[in-house]
Amino acid sequence: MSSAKPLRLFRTTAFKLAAGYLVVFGLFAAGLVGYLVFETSSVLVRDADRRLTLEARRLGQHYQRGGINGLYAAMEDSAVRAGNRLYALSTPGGDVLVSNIGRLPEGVWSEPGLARFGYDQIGPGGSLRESRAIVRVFELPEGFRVIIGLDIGQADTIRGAVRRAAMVSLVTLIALGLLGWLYVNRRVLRRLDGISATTGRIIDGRLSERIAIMGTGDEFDRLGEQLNVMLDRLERSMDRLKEVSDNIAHDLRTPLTRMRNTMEDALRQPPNNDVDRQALEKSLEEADRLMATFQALLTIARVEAGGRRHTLEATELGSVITDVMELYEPVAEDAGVALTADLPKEPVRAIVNRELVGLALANLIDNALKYGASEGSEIKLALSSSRHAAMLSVSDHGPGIPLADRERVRDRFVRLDKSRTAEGSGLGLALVDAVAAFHDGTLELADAEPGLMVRISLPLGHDKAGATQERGDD
Amino acid sequence: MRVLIIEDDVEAAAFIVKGFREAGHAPSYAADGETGLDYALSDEYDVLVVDRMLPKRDGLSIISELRSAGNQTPALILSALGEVDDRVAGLRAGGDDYLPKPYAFSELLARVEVLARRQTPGEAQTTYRVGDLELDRLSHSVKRGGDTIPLQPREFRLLEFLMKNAGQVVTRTMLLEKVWDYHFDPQTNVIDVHISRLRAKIDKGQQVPLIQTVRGAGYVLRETA
Repeated sequence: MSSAKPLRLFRTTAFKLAAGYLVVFGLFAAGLVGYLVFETSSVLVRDADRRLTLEARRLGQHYQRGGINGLYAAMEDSAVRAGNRLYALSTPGGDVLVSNIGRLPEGVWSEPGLARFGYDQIGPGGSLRESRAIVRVFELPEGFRVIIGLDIGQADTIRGAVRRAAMVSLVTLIALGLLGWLYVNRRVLRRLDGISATTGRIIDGRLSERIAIMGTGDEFDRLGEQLNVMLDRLERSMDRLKEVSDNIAHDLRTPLTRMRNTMEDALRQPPNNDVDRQALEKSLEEADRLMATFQALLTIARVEAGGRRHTLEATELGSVITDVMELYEPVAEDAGVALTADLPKEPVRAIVNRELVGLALANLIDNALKYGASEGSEIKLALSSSRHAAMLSVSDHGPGIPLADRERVRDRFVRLDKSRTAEGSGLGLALVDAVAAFHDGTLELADAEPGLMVRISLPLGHDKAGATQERGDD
Repeated sequence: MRVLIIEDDVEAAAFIVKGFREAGHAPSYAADGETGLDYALSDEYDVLVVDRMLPKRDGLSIISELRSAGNQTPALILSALGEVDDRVAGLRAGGDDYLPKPYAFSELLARVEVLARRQTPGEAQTTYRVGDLELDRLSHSVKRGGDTIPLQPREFRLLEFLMKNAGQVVTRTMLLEKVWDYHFDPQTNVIDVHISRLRAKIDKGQQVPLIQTVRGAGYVLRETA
């Protein structure tokens, strides 16, 4: 792991980003330094040029007033007090009359105009020192030649200093950039490694693990929080799935066991037509119950898969309610339960699958009769609509469902403990939930005070892809 | 009654064949789609029982092929696909009834017998008569022994269906389908309660009860037990 670490460092996004920035920044800094050096030296040269022009004008005045002799005197005088100025005067024959320049390069005299070159400066005590100068060479009408110049060795020194400073800062910059990058990278990698380690543990099955939140509110915290929310969801649905499979195991195993016991018992006894027939009838009953459970499971799966398997059509929901209510009326009456409907005067039309909505309502009435209603009570069906949705509800005045269980009962095979022994597959609400979801609607369990109110909201103006207005005429 | 069963599951087919034979019918059997189509084209049958998914040729195409050849033998489709739209597809292909698997044999038998009867003339009768019970479809009136029996609209439709298929066993799911137009399996005994209401109106105080319960299958309306 540790040997792979440096390699991994270079492969990170942070490294690529940092390297890119460093290159861009380095180029920019180098450009800046170059410009600085160039500007410094050009300022010095411009200044030298200006001073040379002034000096030339001053010597020119001497020349106009006193001729070559006046010039000679002025130059000799200046050359003595020169400082960093250069003066030289030569005859047309090339004999040097005045000079405070130690050694000039070849050919300077012969070309009038501006020139820049290295020369030997006369230092204190007549010593020579290499330096650089900028000079102007003039040719006078009589053939005399004049050189006036400025030592610019100092400017070169400044330029060199600037260049060195720039180089040092460039190197420092790169070094600091690298260090900063290493630091950031280590920090980022540590956080990412933390997340990776946690997900690794989750992959190994420890679903309750969560990513540590540092409380800094940075993007890693935000990512961690999001992942934790996702993990919460996953864990919850895994729990539900487990509960569902436990319930399936229980609900399918129980009738299978009963069936097997019945048959085994009949086989163990001496042949007896009556006993055998009874056992067979009981087994058939159990088989039918199993089949019904499977059918219900299959229907839920199909409805949940949704898609185009179920045609949609404009349906008057009030008529679906009255149809289903009429179907259940005699059963309710036999149970001493009043089945009533509260329908709006205006018809409520929605694009639905009539069969599925009918099935959902039938299941809800069935549930209400089994768990919610008692002799002399009432089951109320209601329909109402807003601009966007139609609400179908079935309410009873039974014990209701505690708030804590209202989410859970939508799941397959979930039956509240007190009803586990009662008839029923525990699939009713799961099916109703699936039907509501199929229509992009919602299922809501509420308190009917007292009792349970189950409300299905179906969006109006439904325009599901693949909707057709057809139905078989069976 | 001659029934052609086209079903590739040998065990299921044997069970159906045995059942039809015991019910006094003459079943024939084909194990794949092409053989089935050959049989159906070369012989006369009263009803076809066709599995939807078959080797060589699927059930729906057998039926559409027969229909386009002018063969109108009633056909019942058996299918593991039990949703409303599968049913619609089956009926659109020319099938006359649709039974999702798994099914009870009594259900299949009842449906096949009703289908076989459908071919016989007298389909568009305006009155049905069984014993002294009389139903007039035009005036929506029911009389027994000359006494008018007032019925709710749904009770009327229930009785109408029973009388139309008098002597035939009709199952609870058939009643839910034909009278209520729903194809799901009601978990409680809703249909039984409707029947017992109707029975109370039709048979109460009568010497001969007409609506009879067939154990494990459904109901039949007939004059004799």
